[in-house]
Amino acid sequence: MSALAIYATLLTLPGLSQIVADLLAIAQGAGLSATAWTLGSPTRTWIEIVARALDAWGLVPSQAVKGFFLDLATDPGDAGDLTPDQTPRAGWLSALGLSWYGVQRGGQTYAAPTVTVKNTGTSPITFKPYQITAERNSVGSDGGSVTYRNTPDATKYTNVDGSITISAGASVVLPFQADRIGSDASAIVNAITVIVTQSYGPLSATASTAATGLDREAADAYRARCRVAAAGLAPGGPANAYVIAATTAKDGAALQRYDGSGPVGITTVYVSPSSATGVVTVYYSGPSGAVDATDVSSATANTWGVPLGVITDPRGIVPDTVTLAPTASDANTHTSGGASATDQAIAVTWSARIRAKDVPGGATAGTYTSGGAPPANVAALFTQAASALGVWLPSLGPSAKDPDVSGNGVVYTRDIEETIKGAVTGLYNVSASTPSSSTTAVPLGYVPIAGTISGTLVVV
Amino acid sequence: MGYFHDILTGRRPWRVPGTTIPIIPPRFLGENASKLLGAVGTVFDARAAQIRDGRAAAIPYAGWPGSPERACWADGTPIECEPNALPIHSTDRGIKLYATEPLLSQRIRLANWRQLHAQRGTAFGEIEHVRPYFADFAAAGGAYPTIRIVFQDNAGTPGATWHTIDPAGVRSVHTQRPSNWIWDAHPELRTRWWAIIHLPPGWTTYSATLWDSGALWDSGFLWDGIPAAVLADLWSMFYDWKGAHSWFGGLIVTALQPTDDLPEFPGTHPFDPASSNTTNANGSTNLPTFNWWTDRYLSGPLLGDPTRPYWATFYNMSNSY
Repeated sequence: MSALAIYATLLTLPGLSQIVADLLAIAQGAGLSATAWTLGSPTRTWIEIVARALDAWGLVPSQAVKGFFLDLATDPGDAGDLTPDQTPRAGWLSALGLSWYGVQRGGQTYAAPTVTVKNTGTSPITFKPYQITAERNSVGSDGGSVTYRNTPDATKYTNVDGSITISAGASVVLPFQADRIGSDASAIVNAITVIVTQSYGPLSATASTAATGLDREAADAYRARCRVAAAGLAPGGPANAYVIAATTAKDGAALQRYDGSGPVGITTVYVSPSSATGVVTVYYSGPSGAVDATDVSSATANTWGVPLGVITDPRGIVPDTVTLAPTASDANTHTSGGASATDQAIAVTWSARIRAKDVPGGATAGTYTSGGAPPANVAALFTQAASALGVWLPSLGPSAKDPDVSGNGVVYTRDIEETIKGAVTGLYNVSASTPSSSTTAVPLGYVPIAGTISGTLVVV
Repeated sequence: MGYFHDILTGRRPWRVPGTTIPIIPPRFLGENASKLLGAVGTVFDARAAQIRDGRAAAIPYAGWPGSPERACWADGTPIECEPNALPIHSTDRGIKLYATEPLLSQRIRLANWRQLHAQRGTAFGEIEHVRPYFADFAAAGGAYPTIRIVFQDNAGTPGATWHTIDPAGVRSVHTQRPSNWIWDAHPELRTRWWAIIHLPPGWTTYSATLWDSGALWDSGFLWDGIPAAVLADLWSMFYDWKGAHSWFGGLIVTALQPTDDLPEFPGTHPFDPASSNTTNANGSTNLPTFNWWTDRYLSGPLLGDPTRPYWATFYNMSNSY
């Protein structure tokens, strides 16, 4: 049993029935005929009352103790949190992370696109901030409409009463903000196509910008940032200092892209372990693999301590006389720097078995392939497996597993099989024929991503 | 019995505050009622103990054994977590635990995690990370070791800089120019460094005479009298605390103390930062003089002979080429 499991057991206080049993057993042991007490009798009733009070009270210290450990502490909205109101917000985990590690959990944000609003009528149209609702051309994850409201902008709403007037046939680019918080309201370019509000006159949306709404930082990702935070205290540039400089701002919040377009997308970092000449090689990657130049320059600025764009108070963790590689001169910081890892697509051909009853909705026994035309519920299993690989492979980061002193690592085929198995309940005898060897090399500077994923499923 | 048991059974006075009126009337304390309340109290006591242990699980270190500052419960047991909770603190605080590392060392390093992180990647920080390994020996009346880190710069006239923490914890830095730590002909590899531990007297059965002595030489679990696993952990404790831009050249361990005379170099001391390089009649040197980078002479009149002194153990040496 792991230490964590042992500790979790310690904190799993006995439930109501166990408390009652304990009380009766102790009383019986003391010489009372407690086991003969019938439910409803005065004494037995008192036992029940005491047990229920103890049970209800026990949750409080249990939760309080959990709040001292990163793996056990949670915020409302996290899995396992017992707060009655589960609206995602800061709780024990955020308090622990901020006070012990100086790291702030990334919160949800609203998508804020601009929409080009056109007056399609023959008369001027006047309105104020928050009076116009626009709508995305695709529904949200809950099936509901994703809408946006026009927000104030003193340079746009210039009428004396704070309104704007759009002449007949004219267009104006206006700022909007999503009505719902989080990634569900993110929008790609020109995805906002409908002006819902027509009560001020006929308006249409002729264009819109891309906008990203962020979900709250995942609890495990936040815990990981907390754990490397202390390395940021070090003046001597340990490897983890480069990791935290790539992800976390000096104030503990998620590092922002220097152009103000949101947090950096870097989630994994390779740092060369040793150098006899003072050179540190750094590669970055994100949830999908390679990251863009803005992420790299932002991380480089924070690593060197160079103010850049919205990064006005960078960390700076590079000791004297040290240079970074492989970038000799970053285009924005004009320092040496790390680089994005290059995607290395790994094709996977797998086969597995599953019992028909384990296929949601059931399935006819037989052999199905992802490239064929399996029933929708079987096709969904192929999708689940492919999606799991699509998430897991990039999560290994640059150089993947077991990098040697030169930074050349591997992906284990056995791990690929385990990932597929874990993605679909009931799957067994998972075998990957591609990659054909036990490992796939991931050279220095590369990050594994999912290539073509082909599956064969034998339903028995 | 426990606190709640004694209260509910009347063994411990429990009165209305400011009065002598008992909270539990005497009529409640008849034999059967007392037993029943005793059962309730016992369950309360068990719950209290569980919560106490849970709260203590957040505390890795109660203080130096035997010191008046050591925090203890009323029964004298230290207010600190059980050993099985240490790996959780290890993960949360970024302090790796090592297989042969004594428990006291683990607790001290976990308690001092911020201070250790704040010095990580510096020579003194690396020494401070290793020093607690010997804390249990010191707590038992022994001494801490003298630990040094030395590197050679690449100045016009290369110099050797020695960082030392002595058994009392006193730090010192000494730069010797020209260098007295001439590992090889590569001063351009300027971010290499080496760690030296003068084992405290009595810490192991290690002695200088064990070098190359029969079955003990580098064999199995013993390496010149020290378990190989111990050397591996000490090496890792240095390595894990270095900067990414530097190269750990290896761990050197000796049972000789800094004030001892070297066996073949009268008047000189082992790994003396201020010493000059000396070569004796058999060709061996008190400090590296272009020769310790390999363990055997590869040419010349000493071909095949050991280059490194027998009075020290060289573990996991790595030149970076």
